[in-house]
This record gives sequence, structure tokens and C-alpha cells, in this order.
Amino acid sequence: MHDKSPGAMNTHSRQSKPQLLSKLLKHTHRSQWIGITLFVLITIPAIIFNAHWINYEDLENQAQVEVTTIAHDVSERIGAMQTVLASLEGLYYISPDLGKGEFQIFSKNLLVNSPYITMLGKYESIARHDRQDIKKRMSDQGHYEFNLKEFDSQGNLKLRGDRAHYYPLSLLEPQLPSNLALIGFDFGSISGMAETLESVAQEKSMALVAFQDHWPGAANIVAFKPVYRGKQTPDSGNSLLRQTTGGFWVNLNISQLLDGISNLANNFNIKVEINHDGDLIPVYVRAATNLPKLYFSSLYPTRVFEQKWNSTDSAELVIKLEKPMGFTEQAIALTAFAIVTTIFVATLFSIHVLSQQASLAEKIAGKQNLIDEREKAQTTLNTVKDAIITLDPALTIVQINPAAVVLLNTTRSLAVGQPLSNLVQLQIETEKATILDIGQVLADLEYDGNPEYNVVPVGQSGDDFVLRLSVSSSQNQDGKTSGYVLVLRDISHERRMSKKLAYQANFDAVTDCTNRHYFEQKLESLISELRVNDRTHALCYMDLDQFKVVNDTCGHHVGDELLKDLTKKLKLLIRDADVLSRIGGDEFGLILINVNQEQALSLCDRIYQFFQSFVFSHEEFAFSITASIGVVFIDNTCANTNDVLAAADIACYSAKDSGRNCLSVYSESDERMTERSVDLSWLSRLQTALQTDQFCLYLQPVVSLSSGMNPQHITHFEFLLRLRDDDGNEVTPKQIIQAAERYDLMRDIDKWVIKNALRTVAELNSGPGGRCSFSINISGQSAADRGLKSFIEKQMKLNQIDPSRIWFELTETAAISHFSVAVDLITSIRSFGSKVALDDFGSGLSSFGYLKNLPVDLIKIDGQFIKEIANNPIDRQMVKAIHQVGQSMNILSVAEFVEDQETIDELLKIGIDFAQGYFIGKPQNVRDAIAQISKNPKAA
Amino acid sequence: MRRDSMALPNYARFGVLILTLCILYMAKVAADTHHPICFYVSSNHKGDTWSDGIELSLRNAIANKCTLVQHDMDSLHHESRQDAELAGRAAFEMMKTVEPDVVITSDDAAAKYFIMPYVKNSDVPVVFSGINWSVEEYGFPADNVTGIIEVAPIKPMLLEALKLIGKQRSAGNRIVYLGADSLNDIKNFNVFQDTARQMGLVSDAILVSDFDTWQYGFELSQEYDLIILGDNAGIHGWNNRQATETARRFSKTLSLTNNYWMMPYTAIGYTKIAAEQGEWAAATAVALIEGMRAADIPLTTNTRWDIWVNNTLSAAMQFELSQELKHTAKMYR
Repeated sequence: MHDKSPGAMNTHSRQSKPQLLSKLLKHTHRSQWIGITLFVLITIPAIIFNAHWINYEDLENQAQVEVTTIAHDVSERIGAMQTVLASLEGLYYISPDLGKGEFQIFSKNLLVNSPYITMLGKYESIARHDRQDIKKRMSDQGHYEFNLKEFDSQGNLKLRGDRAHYYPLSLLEPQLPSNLALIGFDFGSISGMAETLESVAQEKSMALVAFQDHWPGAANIVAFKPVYRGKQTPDSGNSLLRQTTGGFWVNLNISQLLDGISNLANNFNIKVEINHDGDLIPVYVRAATNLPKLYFSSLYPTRVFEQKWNSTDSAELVIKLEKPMGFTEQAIALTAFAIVTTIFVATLFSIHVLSQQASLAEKIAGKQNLIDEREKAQTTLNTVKDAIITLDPALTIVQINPAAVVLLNTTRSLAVGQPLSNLVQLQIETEKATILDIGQVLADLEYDGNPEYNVVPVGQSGDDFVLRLSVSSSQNQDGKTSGYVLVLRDISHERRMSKKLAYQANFDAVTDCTNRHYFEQKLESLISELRVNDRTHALCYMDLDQFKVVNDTCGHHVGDELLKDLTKKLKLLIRDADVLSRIGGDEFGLILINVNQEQALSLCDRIYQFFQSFVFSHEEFAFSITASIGVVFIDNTCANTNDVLAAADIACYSAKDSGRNCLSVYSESDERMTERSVDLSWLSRLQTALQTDQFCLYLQPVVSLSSGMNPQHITHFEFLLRLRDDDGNEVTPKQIIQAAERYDLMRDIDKWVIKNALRTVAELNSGPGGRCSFSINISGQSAADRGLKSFIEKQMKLNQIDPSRIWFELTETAAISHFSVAVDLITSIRSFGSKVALDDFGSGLSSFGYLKNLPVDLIKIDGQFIKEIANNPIDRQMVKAIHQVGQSMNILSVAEFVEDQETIDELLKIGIDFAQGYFIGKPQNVRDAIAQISKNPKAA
Repeated sequence: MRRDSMALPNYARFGVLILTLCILYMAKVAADTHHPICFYVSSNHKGDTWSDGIELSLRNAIANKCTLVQHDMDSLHHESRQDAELAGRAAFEMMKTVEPDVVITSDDAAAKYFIMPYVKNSDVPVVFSGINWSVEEYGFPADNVTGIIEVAPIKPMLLEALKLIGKQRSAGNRIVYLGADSLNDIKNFNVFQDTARQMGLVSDAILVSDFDTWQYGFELSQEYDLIILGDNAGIHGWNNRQATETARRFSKTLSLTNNYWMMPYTAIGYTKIAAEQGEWAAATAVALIEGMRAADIPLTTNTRWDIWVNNTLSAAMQFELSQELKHTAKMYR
């Protein structure tokens, strides 16, 4: 905060949210964080704990309501069942001879209204001796096959054995093919049922029995209700038992009973049991099908609700409703919402409090900043080197910094409160007679922006003393000018430096005469003026002879002394208007202005004569320094500076060619000048050829003569460089090489050859050329190029060339001239698998001696020994000697300039390995050369 | 022929295997998609009221549980026993063609001439319906035969009739049964006779084969204390309009019937319901298709009937209906 500018305080509203948050966080103290954290840590568990209780109570209450509803529904159905039994009982007392037709009609509606009563009917209570009676009675009712039955162990009905008492089923509704066989089934055959039915008969009660085994359907509870003879029911137990004729039964299907009640039953695991004298007989179990997804159920015990319905006997229907408890999704969502809301509110509250604190802190910091900034501004004013004067609108000085006090030679107390004009008056640098009207300048600020003036205080001495005045105004909140600021910068030093730089740009530091830059500028200026005036000039180009000797002998500082001395003396020989410039290390240019040829030659001769007697002495050394002087006359026929300089160079070169210490005047008709001019033209031609790929490569075949091989077999080609001029004429290699070597272009040309030759070899790989090896020539200048090896390697890899297929040819003279680097290059080339041939061997005189130390693979014998070998025994001996020397060093030999069969014969006699020459094949372009070997049936 | 030349090449064996698998698969699909066939043999002809009632209820109840193929024996038009036997044979021949899963029959002729000689104790489960009163004479029940026996509420009908004539007549309890000379009606009369005897009543029967005789019999019956009108099925030349006219002209004695279609000529009807027969037959057939054994389904009888009063005839007879009858009996036209 403290490093903010005052202006930044007003941009609070523009700050981005991250910035604001960052600011708030910065202002938040540790205790505040602890407070917020504690609040969250206490609140969230409280919310969870509260949610737990609310959820539990909610589930509990909900379950209670549901259980009440379910119990009500079940009670209704149990009640309905009891009502059915009571109805049947009533029907019986009205019509004891109840036939199955009447029973069917009566029960039909009961069954329709109570779908959970899946069957109902009547059972009889008969003694053994009544068996025939009931059989006849049932037969009269249409049950012709009536018999007393019981279930066997397989669940099939079989005839009931002899018993003292029976409780056969006599009426059944609904009668279906699937249950019709139950008519005659003895309920007393079920374990304990005889006692139960006897008991309910004695007690005039109702029995609830769970039938499980072979009774049709599953999860059944059968209720039995006894009926008695007569219209008045007996009171005592024995009478009841004696008077009972059986009773009615109703089959309740528990599953359907529960299905029929509220859907709420699906929310519970349901277990239905019959409690018979404390024995719980399971009847039905059903898992909840509509439970909501619950979480953290393990935290809650399963809630069990138990509902009981007593029959009048000891049996009791027990329905257990189990309600799994846990966090519902809704509870979790609400809890999460509450937590998030709490955190959100806490965060908002924290942000609010923190922002209040931050705002307060910011205000305090802002005030402090104002104080700091004012101090800084004052300090800046005090330390700045520029003189700064603050004026009020009436141009009275309000403030003045120390630099201004010093500059204007006053004191602060004297200056403040004074009108500016009392303190200082300023003159425009270039108009020293005029006093600058500061009032007008300030008044024009509105239009001039922030003007600057180079001024000089009135009364200040010294030509170099210049101040740069800058003025600006300040506005108050209403936009009105509240004052002005004048800044005076002392630019005297800058001026001096500028002048010095300008001098250095045009003058030679050693000789104090103008340099090449100035010389060329001047020359160009003069040439351009020739179009409008009719003057003539002359340019004299002087190249000191043997100047290098002075440097090498006495050191460069002595050389510099010589140049200074020479310059001083030359200046004495020329006119003031003439321009003498040092345009190179030991080269001088002299422009003789406005002279005709005669005057020019006279002056140049004077200079030439001066050099004839000029001796420079240093300590015990005395050096006679001469110069090669080229002279060019300049008139309106001169096109441009370059031509004039080139002509001067040619003339000077001509003077050098003439043995130095000469004066040569440029003339277009002079043959030497022409040659020199041609040489110069080669420079641009070669450069253009390199840049535009005007060079081309030819191939000349080399055949193997060794091992008795057929000399017509072509296995090798040498790449040869060719250039065609604009007219399509072929330029001789000699011309190219001569010019290239003179202008140091051979390195570039060799690289061009290597690059394009290797690319050509790669292109020939797929054809017959793929079987051949190739030679590439390297010049003496390239031999000295330490970067050549890596260039060759790079090109080899780029074109994926097998290095063993490439021979590099280095001329004997080149190798000897740059012996040590040549040995390194040859070794390097051979190290990556290529061969090296020593070209034009024998042309040098010391060849054999060097050969011992040059690790070459082949020697190409100079053609001068080959051409006449058939006729000249000396040549033959020379060739033989070279071959033998090479053979002794495992160096193969190649004969050049082979032009006839006789030569071939001689070479074979000597044992030369390869031959090359017009007889073998002339140089051809690549396509023709390769086509030649592909057509040649003898080609390997 | 050499042994190796008889051996099937490998590709042929593979083909046979694939073909066999395809046949087995098709057989399984056919079995899975098999729809049961119920072969229904009606003793009578289309247009017979009772038989039509059974058929209608049977078709409704059986719905799409099986495909019902019907054969009518037309026994009421048979001139001789031989005709009836031929009709039974024809039904059997058709059953062989149909290859049913279940056989359903209605009325006695089908039981006597079709089930008993051809189907009883076979593998085909049989459900009969509409057999009057008893099945012992047909050897039922059998292991593959079950069904519903048609009974009439004779006793309650007679009790009600005695109550009514008790008020009109001081003495006399002679009863006549006027019906068709048909298998059904002969059995009906026999049961009626037994019941009447148990009640101390004397009964005669007039069983006719033609309409003229029936008209004459009706006129004669007016001399009795009670007339029980049996079936008209099997009475040749039956004429409804003429029969109605005869009934209106001659009715003096209280007439009763168990057949709804005889109500135009009868004062009071305790009528059986044909639909009950058809519905039970359908339910049993479905149970058999679903795998129950016929032997596990006991024989049963119909339990439902209806009470009718023909106001026109009862008014002509000048006896007073009991209050109970007035409140419970349906009014016939």
C-alpha cells in the first residue's frame, strides 16, 4: 500500500476483484483469520448436529404418522374380516340350511369388496358317526365325490383316516377348479387345529391361524369363527362345544392385505407374525420397496414399530414395521445448503468487516502517502540537475530548486516572491539581441503545447553556454491555470559532445584530416554539382608503398606518426580548398577542386615529387616512403561516385603494376586500365553467378587401367566447373579461377561446387551414376579454410552420400602453399572415408619431398608429362618415376590429358591406374555424361 | 462298396450337424410358440338356446387362452341311435385331426356318444358341461375327465308350487311332466320323479316327439294339480307362436319349468343358467392347459338359478302369488 501513488487512491472503484481481495487479505490480521476459522469450525458442526436431530425427528414423526395410517388401514381390514365373519354368522342363524348357491350369492359381494379375503367358507364339526350324513348332504348339494381329506407330505389331498372328530370344509367361495378339491378338507388334520377349533367353540371366540404348508397361496392367515345350533347361543363352554356345528372361516392373504393399504407400507420392512401363546409364527416378510436413498444409516438405529391385533382367543396378529433411518438426500442437500450459506454469509461478513478495515487503513496510508510524495517531490526537486522554477499565474516565483539557485546565481529566499523578470532575463540562442518574452511564451502555451527554447541568460558569458527552456502549466480542478513550471536544462555539454561526434564522423583521429566518409560525401557532392556548373575536378588516389614495413619494423604507433607527419606535409602542398582525406590504412585521397587537367597534373606531380624525397626517420631507422598514385579527372561525364572511385582504384592499381612509386592517370583507352577494368567486372560477374546459380557442373570420365581392366570402363567422373556468359559462350576455367583468386572468391566457389556436386551425386544414385565415384576440386584458398571440413561433412550427411565414392582433388601447389592446413584437411577428409588426390602433380619442383608428408590416396600426374609420353622418353621416365614413388607409398596414379591410344598403351606399360582425357571422354553436362555410360554396353 | 467310400466327408458331417441343430431350434421355437387348442363338442346344433348360452359363455370366458375349435353333433335331429353314434364318431375323427390340448363338451349326447366311447381314459383331458343330474352312466369321473353337472332347483320349485296351490286347491297333489322324448328330458323327469316321490307327490310324464302331441299333452295336463314343462328341444315342428297361443288358451293349472326358454308357456320358472356351465368349463379347461390334472378337479354342479313369473299366464290362472315371490321373482314380459 505504501508504495502506491496518491492518484491510485482515487481509483479504488476501478480495482479488479482479485486486487481488492488481495488487498483485503493483506489487511487481515492473524487474529481475524483465527476468529473466522473458529466461527466456521463451531458453526458447521452445530449445523450438522442440528440437521441430524431435525432429520431424525422428522423421520421419526413421519414414520409415526405412516405407521398410524398403516395401522388404521390394517385395522380397517381386520375389522372388515371380522365383519365378514359376523355376517356369515348372522346368515347362518337366519338360514342354517345354507346351500352353496345362497352362500355363493352372499359371499360374492364380500369378496368383491375385500380382495385381500381370497377365500371364505364354512367348516363342519362332526363326530365319526356323522361322516355318512355329511357325505350325503354334500352329495345332495352336488358334491358327488365328497370325502374327508387331508394333505399328505407332498401336499396332495388324500382321504382322511379314521378320527373321533372332524372339521371338514363344507362351503368354499370362490369355487375354482384349482381349489374345488379343498371341499372335504379336514382342518383338524392340521397340527393343533383340532384343539384350536375346539377351544374357539368353547370360548365362542375367533381364532387366527397361520397356514403355511400346503394351503393354497402363500402368506395366509385364516380366521375361524364358530356357529352353534339353535337360535340362542349357549353360555357354558361344554354346551357350546356340544352345540357347535362348525363355523365359518375366512382366508386373509397378508400380501394382498398390505398391498391394498396405503402406499406408505412400501416405506417399511414388514414382518407379519402370529403370536400364539408366546410362540411367534412368522407369516410374511416383505422388504421396503419405496425407501428413499439414505446416507449415514449406520448412525441411526432401525426404528421398529409393532402393531398388534388380538383375536378373542390367545392368538395375536403382530405386524412389525421396520423403518431404516438415515440422512435423506433432502436433509443432506439442506445441510449442505446451510453450510454453504453459513460459509457464504461468514465470508460476506468477513469481507465487509475487512473492507471497512482496509478502507480505513487505506485512508491512513493515503495521507501518509501524500506526505511522502510531497517529500519525495521536494527531494526530487532538490536533487534534480535541471533548474526548476514554479510560478504563479502572475509569474511570481513560488518555488525554486537548488539547481536553479546555482544556475541563476541567487538564493532561494531572494528569489521566492519575486517576479521572474527580476530574477532573470533570457535570450534566444540564435537571436541574442532579443529578450525572450516569458509572459508571451506562457500565454501561448495553450496553442504551442510544451514548447522548448534554447536560450542564454542575459549577462552570462561564454559561447558554449546554452540552456534549454521547457515550460508547462498546471491546472486547478476548475481547469484554470494555477501556475507554471519553468525547467532550464544546461545543454552546453551536450552541444560540445555533439560537435565532437560530428568531428569524429568526418575526421581521421590519427592524421586530423578528413576521413573516407567525409571524402566520399564531398566527392558525391561535387559530382552532383557538375550537372549545374561547368567545373572540373581531379581525384588523386595515393597508396603508400612499403608502409607495412614501418609498422612491422617499428610498430603501429610509429606508423601513425609517419601518417601524421605525411599528412602535415601533404597539406602544405595543396590548396586550402582541396580535400585531403585518409581513406584507408595507408591510402589517401585528394580531391583537387575546380582544377583543369593541367593544373591537376601539376599538383599531382608536385605530390609525386614530394614522395621522391620524403624520408621518415624514427630513432636509428629512416624510411623512404613512396606512393602509387592514381589520378582521375572529374567532369560532367562522370556518372557517379563509385565509377570515379573505381577509376581511381584502377589507375592506382596500374601504378602499382608499373612497379609502384608511379603516377598513373586513368584513361579508358589505356590497355592496362582496360585489363584492370575487366578484372573488376569479373568480381561482379562471379558474385552474381554465385548468387543466381549461373555456374554449372560438367563431368569428365576417368577410367581404370589397373589390373588389366578394359580402359573403356567408366567408373569415375571428375566434376568440372563451367560458366556461360550472357551470350551463352563458355567461360574458361582459367578466367574464372584467376578472377576468383584475385578477389578472394575461391572459397565461395569451392563451396558452391561441393554443395551442388554432392547434390548431383545424390540425384544420380538411382541411375547408372549410382555405381560411380566422383572427384571434386578444392582450390588453394579453400585448402586454408578451416571450416571446409565441417562444411563437407554437413553436405555429405544432407545428401546421404557414401563418402568413399567421393575424391577431393587438391593441386600440388595449393597443398604446398598451405602445407600445414592442407595436411589437416587431407587427414580430416580421409578420416570420414573419402579419398584425396593430389592434382597436377609434377608441376611443382619439390613434389617428391612433399609427397612423403602428404597423406593422399591418389596422384594425378600433370598433363604436361602425359601429352607427349609416347614420343618423349623424358616424360615417360618422369611419369614412370612418379608412378613408382606413388606405388611405393600405396598411392594410386591418374594420368591426365590422355588424348590417343598410344598414350594409353604407354600408360598401361608403366602401370598407371587411371586415365583421364579427351580420348577417354570430353567434359559433358551431367545428363549427357551419365547417358553415355548407360548407353555404353561395356560400362560396368 | 468300400467302407471308406460310405463315410461322409467332414464338410457333410458338419452340414448334417448344423441341419440337426437348426431342426432342433425350429422345433423348440415351434413348441415355445404353440398355442393351445380346445376342441369343443356341442351335443346340439346352433340355435338351440341352451347350447348357444353355454357356447357364448365358454367363448367369453376362455377368451384367448386357447383356440376354440367347435364341432356340433346336432343330436336333437338324430332319427336313430345309429345317427348319434355316427355323430360321436365324426367328432372323434375331427378331434384326431385337431389334436387338441383339451376337449370340452356340452350336454349328454356328447358324453354318451363321444367321450365315453372314444376319449375317456385317453391322454386328452376332457371337461364336460351340461350333463343332466348324473354322470355315473357315462363312467365319470375318470382320470382324464372332469366337469360340471347340470342340476335344476326342482325341490325349491316344488316347495314354492305347493305353497301356491295349497291356497287354491284343498286337495290333490298329482304332477305331470310335459317334455321332449329326449335323453336330457328323460333324465330330467327321472330326477323330478325321485324328488316328487320324496315329497309325497305322484308324478306322470308326457314325453312327446312332435308339436301337435305336445299341444295335446298340454291340454291334457290341465287335469293335474301341477304341470312341469320340460324341454322343447327335440320336439319336431315346434311353433313358438302356436305354443304361446295354446298356453294362453288352455292354462288353468299352475305350470312350472326349469328352462328359461319355456317361460312363454309357463307361469313360474326356476331356471338354470347356461352361462354357469360354460364359465366353469372354460375355467377348468384353462386349469388343465396350465397343468392341473383332471383327476385333481372334482366334479361340481351348478349353483345358480333364477326365478321368473309369467304375469299373463299367472293372472289367467287366478291364483295369488306369495309376497316373497312377488318381491324376489323376475317378471317375464
